[in-house]
Amino acid sequence: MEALLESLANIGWITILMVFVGTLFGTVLGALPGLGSIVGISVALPFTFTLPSAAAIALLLGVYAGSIYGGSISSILINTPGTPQSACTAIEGYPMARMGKAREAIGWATMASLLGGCFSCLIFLIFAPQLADWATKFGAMEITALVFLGLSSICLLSAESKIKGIFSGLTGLVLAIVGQDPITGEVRFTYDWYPLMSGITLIPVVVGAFAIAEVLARVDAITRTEELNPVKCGLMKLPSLADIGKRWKQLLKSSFIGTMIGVLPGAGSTAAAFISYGEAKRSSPNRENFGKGEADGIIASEASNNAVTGGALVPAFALGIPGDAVTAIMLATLIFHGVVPGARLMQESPATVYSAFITLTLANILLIPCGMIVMAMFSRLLRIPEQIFLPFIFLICLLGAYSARNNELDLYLALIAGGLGIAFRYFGISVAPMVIGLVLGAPFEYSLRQSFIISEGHFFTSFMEHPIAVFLLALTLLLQVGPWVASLLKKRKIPAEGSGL
Amino acid sequence: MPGYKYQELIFSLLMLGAGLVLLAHSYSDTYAHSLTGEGALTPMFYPRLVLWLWCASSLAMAIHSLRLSPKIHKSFNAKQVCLALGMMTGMLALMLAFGFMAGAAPFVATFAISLGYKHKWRLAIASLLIPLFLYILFEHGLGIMLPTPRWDPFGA
Repeated sequence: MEALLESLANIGWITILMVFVGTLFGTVLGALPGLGSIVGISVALPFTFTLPSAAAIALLLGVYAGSIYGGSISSILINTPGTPQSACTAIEGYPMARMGKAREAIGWATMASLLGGCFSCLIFLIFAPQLADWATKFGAMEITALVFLGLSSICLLSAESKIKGIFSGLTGLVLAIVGQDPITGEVRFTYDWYPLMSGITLIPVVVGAFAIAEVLARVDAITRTEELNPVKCGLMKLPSLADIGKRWKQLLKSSFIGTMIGVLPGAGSTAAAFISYGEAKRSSPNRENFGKGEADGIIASEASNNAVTGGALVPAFALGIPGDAVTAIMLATLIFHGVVPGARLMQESPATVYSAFITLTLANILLIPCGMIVMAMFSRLLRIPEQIFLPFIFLICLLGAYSARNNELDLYLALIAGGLGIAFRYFGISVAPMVIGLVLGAPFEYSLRQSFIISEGHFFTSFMEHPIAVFLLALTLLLQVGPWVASLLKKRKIPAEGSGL
Repeated sequence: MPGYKYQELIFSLLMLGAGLVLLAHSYSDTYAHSLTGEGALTPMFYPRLVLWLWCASSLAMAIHSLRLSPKIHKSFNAKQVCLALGMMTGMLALMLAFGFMAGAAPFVATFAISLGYKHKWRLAIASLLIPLFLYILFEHGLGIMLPTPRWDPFGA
């Protein structure tokens, strides 16, 4: 409680201003078709280097929450999801807009995003200290098992093909081995080229693999894009308390699904939106209206995708394991400011963590004014020529990659990562496991080798003596083998039922 | 142009080749005389493990691509994307050689033209104002130094 009050007192006007700027900017970028959270975060990145750490994180959290919400505006008004996580919103929102209920649809999307985001913040507040407290018991074996759990789940959950997911995660681990050995200090894979001695850092890789690759993907798409004509509407109409009361179960269920999926590394907000929408379609009392403009569908999609934001912060802050690329950049920004995420952060500086929770809550509340501003200027935003906007995005991303270390190598890295990112997209390989592999590569190597050294050649015997490590490994196996066994059982059940007929 | 199946196969084999080169390097003389001990203490213990797994996953991806149908087609404007990537590389080379403005201004103009932008005056203004805005923002607003050009006519 003391830490919570301390963090409240620490939030100054710069932090509040940055949350607002970040949320507004994120909403604008999210509303523009094709540009999502990572592009927003990459553009905002250079600004964080000159800000105090709390304001820097506030800016990024604002962009994160705003960009996820912003996608709903373009989904509803032009039937084009600004971000992949808003695809389900378009299914219900656009028919509502065509029926002349665009104001109501955006009102529901805003309210669901706000409540979903705030719900996940509450969960973050309750569970992050517990998780961090548990994590203080971790030694080298436990950290190895934990990082292995994080890596394997992101590899298998975020890719359409398991092989490609594993390949992407291993690519990240390979990138992380360049530079100094974390134990002996010897240099590896630098080919006597001095700039490589400090290794391949996260920021240029993320900027390249996500933001520059996105610019290249837009170049591919621009030649096939038709002119967009938004549905006309006035200011958003927020649902009344009575309306919320009628749909509170849907709101709560979707927020819960989003938060839980957010905690799981790799699943992300798109998966949350689809799972929650599917569940709403199955269980909603208005399920016969789904696909024709049903508010429950918008609630399911928007409450869950915004709830992912708070959920993803729990493992990131409490364990130092990012759930997705956005939280990976946030961790890199924290480290840049001298704050090391993990169990010790919760023990030694809980105010930093709580201030992140408060600013994320604030960002969710600010979605209402930001949504109103973006709605008012939406048709003008669509008129910005993409041919001019894309080189601007590229330049600011490139400079952002450079400004973290003022190292020319980062410019080359960002460009190479951009080329690799577009190739990965083309071949259906998810980039997120590569980024998480790069982040977790060094701690994984350090803890794994430390475990080997401590066990004096009896690694597996020693491993079995650590119950937490065994539990984490069992959880990893369950996550990997569980869905496979479930689908096998389902396949067996279907023919059995069929033979009965 | 080979079909998608063969493109994926070529990509997987390229990755496998890169992995094998790095793996061969890890067994080279450069790391043969480590003074730090044996097993997990050696700096190549973990990289070799990761590289072996990376090669195995690339090989698995290559085998997976062989099982794909040759009829799979993905619409992708490769020519336009390669042109954009080339312009980005050219911009970087110009920026490092002659400075940010010299690289960014022609980049904005050529990039927009290549994507079919036709308003000449607006383009001329944008290709000057965007780099100028970014220069002022980074150098004076944020206090972040932009890359120093290798060739500076003013000797600054």
